[in-house]
Amino acid sequence: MAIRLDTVSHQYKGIDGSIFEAISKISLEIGDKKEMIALVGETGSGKSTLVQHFNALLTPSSGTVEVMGIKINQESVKAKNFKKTPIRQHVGLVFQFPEYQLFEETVLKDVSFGPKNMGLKEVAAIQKAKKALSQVGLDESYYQRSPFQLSGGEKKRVSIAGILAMEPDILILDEPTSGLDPAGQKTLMDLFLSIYQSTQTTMVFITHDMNVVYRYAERILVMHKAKLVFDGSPDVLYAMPEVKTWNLDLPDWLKLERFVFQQLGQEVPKSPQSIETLLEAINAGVRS
Amino acid sequence: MKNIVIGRYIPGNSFIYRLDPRVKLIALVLLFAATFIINEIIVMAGALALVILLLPLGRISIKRVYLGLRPLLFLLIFTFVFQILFNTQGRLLIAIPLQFNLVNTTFAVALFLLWVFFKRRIKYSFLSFLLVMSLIIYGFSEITMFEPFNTATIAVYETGLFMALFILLRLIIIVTLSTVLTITTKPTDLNLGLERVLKPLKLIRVNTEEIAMIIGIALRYIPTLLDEANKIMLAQASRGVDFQEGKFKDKVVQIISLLVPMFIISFQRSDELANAMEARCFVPGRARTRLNQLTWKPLDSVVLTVSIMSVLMSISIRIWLT
Repeated sequence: MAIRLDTVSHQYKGIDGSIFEAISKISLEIGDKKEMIALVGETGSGKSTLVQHFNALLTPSSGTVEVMGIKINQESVKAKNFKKTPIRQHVGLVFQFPEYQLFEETVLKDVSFGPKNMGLKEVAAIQKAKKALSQVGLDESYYQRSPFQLSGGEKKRVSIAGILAMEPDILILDEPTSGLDPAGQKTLMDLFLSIYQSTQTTMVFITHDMNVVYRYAERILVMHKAKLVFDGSPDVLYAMPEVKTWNLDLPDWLKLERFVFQQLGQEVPKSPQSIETLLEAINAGVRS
Repeated sequence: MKNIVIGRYIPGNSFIYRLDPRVKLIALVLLFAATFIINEIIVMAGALALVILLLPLGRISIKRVYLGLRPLLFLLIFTFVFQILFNTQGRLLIAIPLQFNLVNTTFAVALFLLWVFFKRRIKYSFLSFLLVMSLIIYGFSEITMFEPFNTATIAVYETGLFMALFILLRLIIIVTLSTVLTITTKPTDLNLGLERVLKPLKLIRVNTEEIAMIIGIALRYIPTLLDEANKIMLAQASRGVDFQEGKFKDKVVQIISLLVPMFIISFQRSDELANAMEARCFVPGRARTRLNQLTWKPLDSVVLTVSIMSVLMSISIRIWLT
């Protein structure tokens, strides 16, 4: 089991002593076999707090997180030989804003920072960095450029390469497409898909865009008010009546489909249909 | 980093909270002046007692004030030791002859290194530091059967001891009073008060409104920047930076990996802030109206009178005692 959470809760303390529970009693498993997982939920539902437990940035207030067999809980982190760096090599977390991590003079140096922290020598680290940069579609002309003079989308790619260079088994992306234009969003998501298909990496991405979820996700986790309320396949989720109460939107395609079947006076099918079936249904409806 | 107590406002309700910020600022300056006029240790101790009495009256938890004092503990002890060692006036109280030889120097160095090595794992690192220091001094004064290569004497004089205690008390009073001010006053109120108190400086063409604006923005952005720093630390930790460990060379790179994004984000923030202010028609130097006007209440006059009285008292005590 790559990641296992056992009744994990995390509490923040306010200045006045009040306790705020960011995530509450969450249990879930992410297997060794690669998966494309979408994590959705309204703002403040605890998504970011949850993924920060996956690579030991946060220690659960109660419960246990197990990453690649390493247990993380209140007791285990107190042990003297407990090291968090190996966990972060297994689980790479890319934050929403690249500005929080870019700092070197050149793109190549910045991307090789992660591998160097893993204890690799300069030459090996540079090699990994070059590989990661080609994975995110940045060629040699970018190597010596300053990361601060790149466009928003390019910065994002460099920040993702910075994590990819550590060759994680699980890659977590916190709102990877925020702040990009529609074309940039699509290119980036397709890039993730190609990385996913060419490697053995499990991907978890946080997003608000249900169309992205519809197109790419194989499994969906839904957070609502600090609790994990859904964990399963997308088709099951779309058919659930609770979707509205969790403040989730349906993908545009499904909305269109439902609208068409309702207008035709037919029963809405449980699972998403292809465009051909939809056209056939419309044709049949028009003829009758 | 989230436990910084200096300069933090803590919501509450007492007569100190209800005071006009102008009065609080003026009273603070007056009371500071009083502590600098006092030149007798007994009077100073009395003043400290009065200041401590102020805390329960103003419903401020003493623990909070102590937490505010703690970061300054090093400074307090440093000044204390410095005064004791280098003030050579008055009657000689104690003299400890020291001898430096190979054995006790090695002993001292070893003991110190041991403390440096273990200080993270023991609970009372400060107390243990005092213990180690006294053991080292003991070593220098008692292990004397070997060939010394240098000698020295630790001498404590009466005036030195008194001056040391005196300055310690004065520093504690000053820090406690300022902590009381920041605990009980919202940064925005404090800033507004400061602007009004500095208003006379306008006559000599000092732009007090701008100064107040700068201070206000700086105070406002402390929590924001702390938050950003925290996020950067998380992002770099995800790239395998271990902020707890590493050799000196690694530490330098770690700090750079924190500072560079910090600078860039700060500049971005200030740019955005400038735009937001301009969008709301802020023009530097133009007269502005205030949402919250300060009102002078009878209590304010009472506190101001008491502060002036305490300055007069300290002057008269000084004259009377000499």
